[in-house]
Amino acid sequence: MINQTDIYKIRDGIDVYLIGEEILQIYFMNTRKQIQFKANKFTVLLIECIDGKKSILDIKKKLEERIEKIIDIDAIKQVLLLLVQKGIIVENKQNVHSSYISDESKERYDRQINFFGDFLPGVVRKYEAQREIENSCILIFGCGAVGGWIATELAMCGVRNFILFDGDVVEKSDITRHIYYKEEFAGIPKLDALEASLAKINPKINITKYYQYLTPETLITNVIDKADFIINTADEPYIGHTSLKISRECISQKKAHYIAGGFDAHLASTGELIIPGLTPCVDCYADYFKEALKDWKPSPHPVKERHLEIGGLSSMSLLSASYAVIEIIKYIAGLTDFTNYSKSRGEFLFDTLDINYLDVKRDENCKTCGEIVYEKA
Amino acid sequence: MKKPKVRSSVSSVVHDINTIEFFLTNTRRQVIMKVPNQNVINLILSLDGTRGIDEICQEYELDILAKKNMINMLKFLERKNVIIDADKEWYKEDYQRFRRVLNFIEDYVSVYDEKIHAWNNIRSSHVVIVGLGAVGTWVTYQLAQSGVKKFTLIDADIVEITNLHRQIGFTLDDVGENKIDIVQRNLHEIDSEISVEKVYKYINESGIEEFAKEASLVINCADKPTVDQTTLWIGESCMKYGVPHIIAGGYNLHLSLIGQTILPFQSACVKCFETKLNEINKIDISNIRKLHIENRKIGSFGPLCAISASIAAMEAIKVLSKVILPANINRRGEFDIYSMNISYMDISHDDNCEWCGVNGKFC
Repeated sequence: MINQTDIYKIRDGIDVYLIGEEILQIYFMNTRKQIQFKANKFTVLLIECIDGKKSILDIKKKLEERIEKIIDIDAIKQVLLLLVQKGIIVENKQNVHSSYISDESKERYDRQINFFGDFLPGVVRKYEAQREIENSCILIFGCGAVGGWIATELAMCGVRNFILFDGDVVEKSDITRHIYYKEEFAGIPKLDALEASLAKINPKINITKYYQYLTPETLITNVIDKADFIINTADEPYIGHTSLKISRECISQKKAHYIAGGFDAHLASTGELIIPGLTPCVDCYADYFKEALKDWKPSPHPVKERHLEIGGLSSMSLLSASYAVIEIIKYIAGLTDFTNYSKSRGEFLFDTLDINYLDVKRDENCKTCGEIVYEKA
Repeated sequence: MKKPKVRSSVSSVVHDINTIEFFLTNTRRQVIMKVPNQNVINLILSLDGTRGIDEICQEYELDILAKKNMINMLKFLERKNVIIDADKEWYKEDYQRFRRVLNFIEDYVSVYDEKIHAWNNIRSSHVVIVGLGAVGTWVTYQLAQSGVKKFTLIDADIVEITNLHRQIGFTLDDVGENKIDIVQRNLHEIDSEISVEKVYKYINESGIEEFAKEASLVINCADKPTVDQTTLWIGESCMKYGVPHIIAGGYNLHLSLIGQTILPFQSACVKCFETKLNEINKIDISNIRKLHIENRKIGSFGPLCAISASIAAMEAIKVLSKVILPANINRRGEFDIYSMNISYMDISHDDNCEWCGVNGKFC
């Protein structure tokens, strides 16, 4: 319901063009979406009056001065309602954020919240999105190159609760991989280094640390139960095994998770978002590869210690991690509708800077996820 | 070649006793080779870099002719980047810390001298970063982590609380400080050997000639007053001295534009881009009016900035190595957050370019 004392504003990140006399073209800058519709002169004048300060009554007065006619306030309300429905304007309420996030968060994440606003119509959903991020508990297995970047970027977005799993120690050669690397950290546990770095980003961050490697025996049911979203970047002993273990547990608890890093992360594999009952799970992927690679039987490599010779650039891990964080935030904050989500793993090539996606479909008969029904978060 | 070794990143698949396939996992290249017999396959699959040529010959009882054939085959496999000389003497100083970068570069070179050359080029390079914001901060640390030791940073801005969600390395404690000082501090924490020249200014129409002429590469991450404007100022200074430059901050409103890489006089320059884009975007604007909107605030998102920055950093390493060909010459791209795809637009060199065309002022 629109009241005459309400104040509206054009949503941030929108450009409005008038083509000829009566076609309005709306350009949503952040998402590059465009819509066009016919509008009469009255609507154009009205849009030009919307500034986030004037109430509807004020706008009525101003319009009446301009066209020197009495205007029916219901006509104004009608146009405004249409503009609201099209996602072009929103009510500009003061302090509407305060039921969702603190003033401090409003100030710090203002531009990000505006970014969310381009995905989410209405006045409050962008603040709800930020609240979801702040309240989520994120569990990360493996806090190396990709895991460290993901944790850092999520913390920058506002995530406050982390459970981190890693048994490794910072080495001097990690200068080329870990964003949290500092010379002074060489020799200390990676989790302590990462914690110090995250605490600087946001002193309010809570971190639970498990200084251990994932093994087939590690019990993960309880720790996954505590988390809202789970990320696996643990590639020791082998990402395929850790992912199977983690993904199966997440599927049984119906929790969305992301398998990042590992495999050919130095080639910037995008990893994959797994939503139980909607996307392929790790077992679906495993079956896909089993079939796709059935004729691929490499001979044993002559070099024994070849894991020491793996190459990679930190910018490749950054790309993988940033890709993952975009998908994770879209999911947690509900920025896009995931019902028709169909992205599977992509591979980013350093040479050509292209992403090639695999076409992996969910196996309806999958022994792990086949019977799971998708539930909207 | 002293001690041949199958590269670590190579997977070998024996199809039959006469065919072996090598898959170069890092560069996604494939080499299929016909061989006379199983012995040759066994020989190749034993190349672990510990034995010299003569030792291998003895082990496989090769006569002089067979030895000659083997050496030719090894040379072929070396050229195809399947095997490499395991002699690591040349980079032992850096090897411990930077082995992942070194191993990575190794996949793009086939001969010994080229390896030394590429790594030394990166290590001795001098990179100018203009603008330490949502792209410049990420790019700078990426390059430091890949071995760049000398930077000139140009920016007059101070850290604000609204920067923290998208500009890496700034914390609450840093609000109010000069961005340059904080970036320098962070670089020194990563590697105390890094040297930083600090230029506390915003660039303007006078360009950056005095800094560009000394540089191996200039990266534009500045968007004030607009990206298009800073790009022309920087492009002009770089063209004058033939310095490669990358437009990294070319994102639209802190979004996902992937800018072009310019190798002066080898690729389209920023003036070529401007001319072609103006042609493409030439629409009848006499009929179109942009409505004025009061009190607007534009959104931005850190991970999207990081995508642009990571790609700029990859291109930078390619340019600095002088061995790997950059991909974003004559094109620029966009990363779409909905489809999660990258798309590119090709822009070719303009023969009549005011700057680098036949009668261009820099030719």
